[in-house]
Amino acid sequence: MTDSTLDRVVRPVDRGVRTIAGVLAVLAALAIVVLMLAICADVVVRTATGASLPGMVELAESSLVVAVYLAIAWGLVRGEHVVVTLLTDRLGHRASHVLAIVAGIVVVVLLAWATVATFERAAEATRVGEERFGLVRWPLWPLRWAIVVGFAVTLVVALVQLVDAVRGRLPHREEVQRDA
Amino acid sequence: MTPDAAVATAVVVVVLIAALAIRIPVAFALGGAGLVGLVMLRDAEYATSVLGAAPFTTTASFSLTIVPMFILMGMFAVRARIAEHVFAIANRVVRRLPGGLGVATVMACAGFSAVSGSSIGTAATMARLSVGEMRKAGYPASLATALVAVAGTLGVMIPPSTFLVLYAIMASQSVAQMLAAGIVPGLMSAAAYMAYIMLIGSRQVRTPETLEDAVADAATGAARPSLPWRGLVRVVILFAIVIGGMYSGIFTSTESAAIGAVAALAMLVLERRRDGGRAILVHLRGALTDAGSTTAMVFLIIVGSAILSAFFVVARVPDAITDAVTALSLPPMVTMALLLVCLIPLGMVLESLSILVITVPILLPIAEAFGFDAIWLGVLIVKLIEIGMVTPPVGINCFVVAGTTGERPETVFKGVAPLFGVDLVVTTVLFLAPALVLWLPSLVRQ
Amino acid sequence: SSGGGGSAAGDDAIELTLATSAIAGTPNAAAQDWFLDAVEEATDGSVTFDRTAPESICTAAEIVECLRDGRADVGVTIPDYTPQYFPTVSVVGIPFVGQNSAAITASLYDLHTQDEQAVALMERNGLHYVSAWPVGRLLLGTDAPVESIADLQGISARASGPVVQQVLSDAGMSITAVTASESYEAVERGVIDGVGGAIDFAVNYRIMELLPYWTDPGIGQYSTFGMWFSADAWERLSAEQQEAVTAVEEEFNEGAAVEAFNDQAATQCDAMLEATTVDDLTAWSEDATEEWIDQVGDSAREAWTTVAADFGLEDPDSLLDAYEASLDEHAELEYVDATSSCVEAFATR
Ligand code: NA
Ligand code: NA
Repeated sequence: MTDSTLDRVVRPVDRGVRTIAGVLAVLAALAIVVLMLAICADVVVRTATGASLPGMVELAESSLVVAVYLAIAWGLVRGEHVVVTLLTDRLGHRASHVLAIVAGIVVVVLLAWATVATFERAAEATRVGEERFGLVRWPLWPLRWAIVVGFAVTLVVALVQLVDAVRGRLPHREEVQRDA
Repeated sequence: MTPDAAVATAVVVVVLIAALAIRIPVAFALGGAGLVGLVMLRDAEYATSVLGAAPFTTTASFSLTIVPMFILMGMFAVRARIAEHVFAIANRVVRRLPGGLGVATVMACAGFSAVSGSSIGTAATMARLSVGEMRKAGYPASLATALVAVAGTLGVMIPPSTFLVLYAIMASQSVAQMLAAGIVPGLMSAAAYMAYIMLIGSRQVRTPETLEDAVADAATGAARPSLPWRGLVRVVILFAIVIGGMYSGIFTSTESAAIGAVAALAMLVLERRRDGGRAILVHLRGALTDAGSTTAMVFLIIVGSAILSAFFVVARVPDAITDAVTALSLPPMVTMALLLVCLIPLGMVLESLSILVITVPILLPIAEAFGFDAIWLGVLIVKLIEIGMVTPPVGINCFVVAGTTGERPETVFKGVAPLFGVDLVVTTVLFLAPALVLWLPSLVRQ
Repeated sequence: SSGGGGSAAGDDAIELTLATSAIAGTPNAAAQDWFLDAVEEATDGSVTFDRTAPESICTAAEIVECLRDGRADVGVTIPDYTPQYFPTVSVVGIPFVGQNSAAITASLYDLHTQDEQAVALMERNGLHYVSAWPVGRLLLGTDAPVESIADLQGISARASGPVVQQVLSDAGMSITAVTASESYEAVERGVIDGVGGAIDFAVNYRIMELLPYWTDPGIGQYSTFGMWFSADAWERLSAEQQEAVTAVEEEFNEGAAVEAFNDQAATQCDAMLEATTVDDLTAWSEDATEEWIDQVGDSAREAWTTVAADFGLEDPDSLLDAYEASLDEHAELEYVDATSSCVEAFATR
């Protein structure tokens, strides 16, 4: 396959998956808002009535899971996951290139494994109707799917980055805007 | 430990170092190394079970909501320019004091620890609030980030701390005494970090010229810009709400983080009100996305570390270390010291709550047989696990600060090295003088 | 994962991995350890257990999952954490039904070995049922004396056990969702002013340091600790080993579990008796309890029936009937309740 035919496949996938990752990141941010509001609502109602607002603790907990896993793909797109660069900085271009490919393969394998493993777990949790039962009954199985979605989209991002690495392009590491 | 387990452990350590060396993200390196070990000792199916379960069990917990909420509070506070204002004031007030800003940062971490029960939460929040300001004032990145990573560990030592509560429950000790026991060691550690900055760390600070000019101007009484006192007022209000609400029983320490985030959001709106609704929305959105990605980054590392912990349990590494040390038949003090020092490497790679669960049932009976106090032991265990969280090459707090500030982990570790020494001195003092730990609890009713 | 165990172990020697959430030194750990010791002895060491530290390989809420996926072979935890698997055991949650721990333990064993629905449910879950024993009578800890439902009004409290939370709430208490590990600090600062739970919550979570008034309102047994083998681990045992383990199970469920539990619970009572912070440990008068029973009526039974049906029991009513018939049958089982004796001992403290 020539570079241009490969590009015809990879670039739309790249664009598509970045869009999806971006949308998921927005949902993750909303989950953080929900988390904040759920805890505050519980505190306000408890202060007023002495009793908890049923379901708020469960909602907060669920929001945390959603916030974490829907944001990991965007983190990879922006190159925000923490890496140690001590060794690779001192290597020549060629050696760095080879190591980047090896690292990319390892990340892809781990993400694929994580996607399959969490998928199996989600399917099982759905089948048995996993829930928590406190002040209210709260289904847990949908959260398992949020994890699967998070890993699956991250896997595609990692695959695109691997293809780019093989072709000698550096993975997209956009400068993170930090206006302190 | 079986020979199989010993071989697997060696392989896991090598894989971990190799994975980190070739730039595999830390979370994947930790988790991947753990999975390799699990496949070696059990099988692929077992490893898959751990991998399928860990992402859920390590995040679906109400007590962990404190981490994203404090991170969010920090993001709001930065955009409300609170940090900028407070550090501008601190800079003026403490400018004659060598390392004044660093001292202020450590004090802020200690104060924040009186609210937060989480080291990672404290480190992530304070990194966002103070590293940028210290950099502006000429602090090298290594010093600025290391200070926050190390002072962040005060989060679990100074109450509230679910960590100390959990230890008290596991060791059948009074919770009130256990929490009281953390105060003196926490403040001692904070004082030691401050002494380090004032005496040694401050030599690395290169005050930027503009600042030197301003200082010179101030000295001659010329063009003294008015200080943004409202920042200080707001930080006092923020702390009053969070600490006051918690200690007066309106909300728990876990909930205090969300309340703090809302209060900081109100400050943001107040500060930016003249810029219009659109500008406020831009800041709101920015703070939320930043909080989201930092949260994901932090928790992914925790998941990786949980998978590695699963391997350490299956391989019975803590039992093996304990057996090896006790087999030496050294005097009780030496045996205990060795066992405690072995917590540092465990603290490096493992999520701190899992080390507590794994090691307390092993260490406590030994300590009690030797006649050591269980509360004193608990404080030392917590202290050493916390040191492990900032020890190179894989201290989790350092990764969190690196991830939050965009600095490299190596930079953080470089700055941590001397503070690591400071921590060891503090720990040695606590080890040799149990009265420092036990005096305050003795005043608390049982 | 399996290695040669004891000296008398033969070719079929097997080591099973335990995943537990019973903290060492608690009555639940004592019951668990009695069973594990007895099995090792009865099988001459051909079945041994790798007793991992509490919650080290699996967290409390994850233990059943660990049995199902093979990370552990024997699990000990609170069934209420994963209610979808245990609609049968949850009958214990119905307040005022079941006061005698020994009879409850024996009846639950009968159900899970004889009742078609319960047996089928365990099969579906991929579990071999060993036992479930009550965690102790429900105690209310408060900062003012509570002697009847009128005194419950407006008390803000943390309680465990789903049905109990509803009953306490219906009686006028304000139930809050505070986690167990945060309960101490929540009571200390007044986020909540009471707790409902077994005596081990008072003692092991140290709430007795904070709340002076403790009372047994007569709700009785309200939640359980359960023990299971994974079906897979059970099938790995030889026929002889299964037979030996079954004999131990019978002895365990016919009284040994509750006896081991109560022996250890006595030390918790000592802690209550010695605590200078505890002003009173009492029980409600029969009239006061009767008033509450009348108020609850059939509502708690109906609530249980609905939930149990949702979790896959086809005919919850017949299971409840079988349970109550079995309770009557075992009512003669010799039984001294650890919590009730503690209340008596406290009166003469
Ligand atoms: Na704290
Ligand atoms: Na009952």
